[in-house]
Amino acid sequence: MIRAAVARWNRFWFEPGPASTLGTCRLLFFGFLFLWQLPHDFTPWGAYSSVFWMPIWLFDTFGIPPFTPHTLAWIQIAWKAALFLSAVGLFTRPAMTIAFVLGGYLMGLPHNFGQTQHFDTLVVFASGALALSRAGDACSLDALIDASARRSAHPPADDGEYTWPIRFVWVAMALAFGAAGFAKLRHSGLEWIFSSNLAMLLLRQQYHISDGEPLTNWGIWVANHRPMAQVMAASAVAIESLFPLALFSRRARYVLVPAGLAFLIGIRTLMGPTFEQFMMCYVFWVPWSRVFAAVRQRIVFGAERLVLYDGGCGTCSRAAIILSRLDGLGRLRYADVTSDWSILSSIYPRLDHDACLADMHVIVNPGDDPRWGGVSVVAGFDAYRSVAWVVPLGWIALPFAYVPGVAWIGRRGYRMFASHRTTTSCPVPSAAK
Amino acid sequence: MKQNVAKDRRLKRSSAERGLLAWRVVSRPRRVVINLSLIFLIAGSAYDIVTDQEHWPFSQYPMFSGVWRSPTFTWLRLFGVTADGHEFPLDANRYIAPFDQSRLPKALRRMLDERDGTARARAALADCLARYEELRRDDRHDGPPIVAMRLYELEWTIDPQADNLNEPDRRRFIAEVRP
Repeated sequence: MIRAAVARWNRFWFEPGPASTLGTCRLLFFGFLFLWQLPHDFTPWGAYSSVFWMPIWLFDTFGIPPFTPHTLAWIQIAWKAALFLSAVGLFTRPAMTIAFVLGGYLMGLPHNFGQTQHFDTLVVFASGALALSRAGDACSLDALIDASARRSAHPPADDGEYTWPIRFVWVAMALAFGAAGFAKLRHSGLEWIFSSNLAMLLLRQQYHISDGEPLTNWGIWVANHRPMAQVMAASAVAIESLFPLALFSRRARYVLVPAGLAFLIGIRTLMGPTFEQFMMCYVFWVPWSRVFAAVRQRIVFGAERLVLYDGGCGTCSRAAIILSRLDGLGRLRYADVTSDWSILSSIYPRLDHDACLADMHVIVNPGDDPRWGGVSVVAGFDAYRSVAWVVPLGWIALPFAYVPGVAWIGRRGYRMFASHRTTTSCPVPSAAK
Repeated sequence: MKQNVAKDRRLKRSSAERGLLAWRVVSRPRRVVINLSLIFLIAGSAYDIVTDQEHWPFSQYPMFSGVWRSPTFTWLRLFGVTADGHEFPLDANRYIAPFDQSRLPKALRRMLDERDGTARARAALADCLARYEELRRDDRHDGPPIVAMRLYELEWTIDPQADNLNEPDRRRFIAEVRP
């Protein structure tokens, strides 16, 4: 019995999962949080007089003070930098730890000024879980640096380490929703649904009493249609109370998770309370690796490219490894000019061996797919620009790569770099063990 | 029937084994730390839910859980007073940022509920007045310069169209501060 319970616990938390899903969750969660928090200024909280200071238990128990505006300014700079680094995945573990510690302080600070609000609790839990996790193993600069240093083109294998942080956020969200539903039933019972309660609440919220203004005045219309208000009240209690089922049933997940998101959007639209940060945590419900696989399978993003690189050159090998890790759409293939030349020259007799060793070459459409109008070969800067068409991260750089003059500079820059490259100056990294 | 039972057992065993295998891939010290954090999340939340208390970031999420029966409600609101004596409500967050129209009235209510409530509220108003002017100087709102700030308790009868927003039924003066 205990053994079965332990096994069930372990299976729920530590079932092997893909690193890319957790990595994408990290990137999106911290990216959204960074963009959301960037314009927010926490320094004024340090300027209020002590009459406003009504510490919540966390600050009271540990004697955490409201720092001066000057100190808060430095803390928030460090926090926002940590959020950015956590999103891009550079120094990921320390960045996520700093983001959690400083974020816990800064997000908790306003709650010491008279009212505890609930839109950021889940963000604190999600940050904490990520700080403990190995979320930087994929979709991060750290992962690219590590892959190039270890000369490993393969992403990390599925692991329980990539599952538990996601499930942690699921459980925290289910507890939040479940608790809110339970609180309504405990304090008000079914009267919360079948009375005019929600209609009154919707009207009351129009009197500028919320932390955010309702995005629309549709709440007035709903309030004046009592059956509609009661249906909405019943839906709210049902979604909140039943949400924990999403943890255990895939079918329930398909219904309750979007319903919960719609419910939060409904609150924001009709009533005002700002749950945007809570909504950011929905990125943890998306099975990103399966989404990427489905996208790869169903949509063709341009012609395939065969990347020809000098396997005897460390820089070129690293570049190929990094490209392979960035190739989320699976449009790139690779051939080592040093070891695969006999095959390459037989298929593409016009290729020049020395030129291929001097510059990275890319063969566009190597399978001569008629949809894309035949094979073409580009080299150097143009090879990288060609690759940028099919690598999602490259799409950011692509518009700049076609700005007049950039190609001229790029080709000369590449030429200069490539001509100073030797096997001694850029040794081949040792293979991963 | 027997075959089905045997099949079920095999499935259960393999499912349990998968659980134990999943366990093994994580090293023991990390396993302890991770499990402690999972238990901390669940136990902390369960404690607040059961005892109906709040220990941020844990919470029982009590917002809007009561039934609103009264046709009226009261709310504290700040008003600015311009040099010519004109009074206007500071009913947008931009006038009182980083506070908002929920947190500030609740903070003031808590102050007023204490023994030296009015004195504390006056000190708080002085902060809000200074902040209003700071935000105005920084072009963070379009409000006029003010020479005083007043705190009122407003009472409304909830209107089906919320048309009486600017015409509360009752207005009780609480405090005023000048720079």
